[in-house]
Amino acid sequence: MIPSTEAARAISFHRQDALVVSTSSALRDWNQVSERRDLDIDLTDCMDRAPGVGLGLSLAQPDRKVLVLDCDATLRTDLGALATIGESCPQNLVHFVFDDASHVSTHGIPVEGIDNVNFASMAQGAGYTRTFQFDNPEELFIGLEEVMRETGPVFVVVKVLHDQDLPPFPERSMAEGWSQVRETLLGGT
Amino acid sequence: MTTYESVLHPPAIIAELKKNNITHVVWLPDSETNFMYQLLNEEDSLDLVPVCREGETMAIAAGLWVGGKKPVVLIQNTGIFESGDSIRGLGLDINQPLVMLIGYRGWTRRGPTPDSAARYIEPILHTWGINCYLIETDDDADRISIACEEAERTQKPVGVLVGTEFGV
Repeated sequence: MIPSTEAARAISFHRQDALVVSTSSALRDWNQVSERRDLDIDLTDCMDRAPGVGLGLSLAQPDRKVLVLDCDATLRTDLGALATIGESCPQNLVHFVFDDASHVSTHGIPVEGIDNVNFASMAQGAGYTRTFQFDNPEELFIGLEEVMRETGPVFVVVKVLHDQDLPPFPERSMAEGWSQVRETLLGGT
Repeated sequence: MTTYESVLHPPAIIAELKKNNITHVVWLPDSETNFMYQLLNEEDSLDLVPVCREGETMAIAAGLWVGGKKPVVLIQNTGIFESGDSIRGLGLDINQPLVMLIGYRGWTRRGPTPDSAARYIEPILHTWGINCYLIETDDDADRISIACEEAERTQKPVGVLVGTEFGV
């Protein structure tokens, strides 16, 4: 398992100027490590919609990488998004799922049967070009080079463990954050 | 006696979308809009983004908009009900100037309206404070321009209720 903040830090290292859409506990971790908040789309609400927002962003900005930092609990409520992304097939999209072995969204209680669900197989069947899975920090750090080189849509399961005390959500509102990203993109920086 | 023919042709809609520099149509493909699909597919200036469920349309439109594009969504009124939370969180709360073209299933200008999808759609939109316009014929299509202007001016979603099936 990979400490979730460490996973976020590894992604941040490989990010370059990619746009990042993050949600739920992945957003909490990302907010601690991101060095380009002007390129970060936060979902502190409608948390299941990160894949859709990422798809729209990737179609609007085809020359930039778009990284979606999703969680197992949010993805399982919006599985249709996998097929929608597979149909549009954005080459610049990388869809990460922080698969949380500590089950923070349900206060440590695992959803019964959730281990029967194989997100990577679903993504592959939906039309993602490549899937990866990491449960070791070093392998993640090294493997991200290949992930970022791949033609998308790429799906990456990262097995994470959270600290008992989750980091806070960002202080800025969604409207403020989205407006900042829009200004950055339209201003061309 | 004058008869009133209610016909709305897809080219009238597409002309309005082009006039307003719409870049993407995010929609759930269905049988009612099939003819529209063929024309949209042939239109180079408009990209189609199909979805599996209507609630996704708002999220995809939001991503397109923040990325600098100008999308509309095209779904049936039943899909608006399914999209409720996304309209709230990813339309109204982030100030997205989105025009929603909404198929007005069950709409009857005269007489009873047995279809609850038709009975509830306008009250639901009004509850959210979302203004809407009705189009039924080619002559009404310029209300799409009014909706686009209003969405930009108010920085919020605006509905366009398509109150008739498309003519061929």
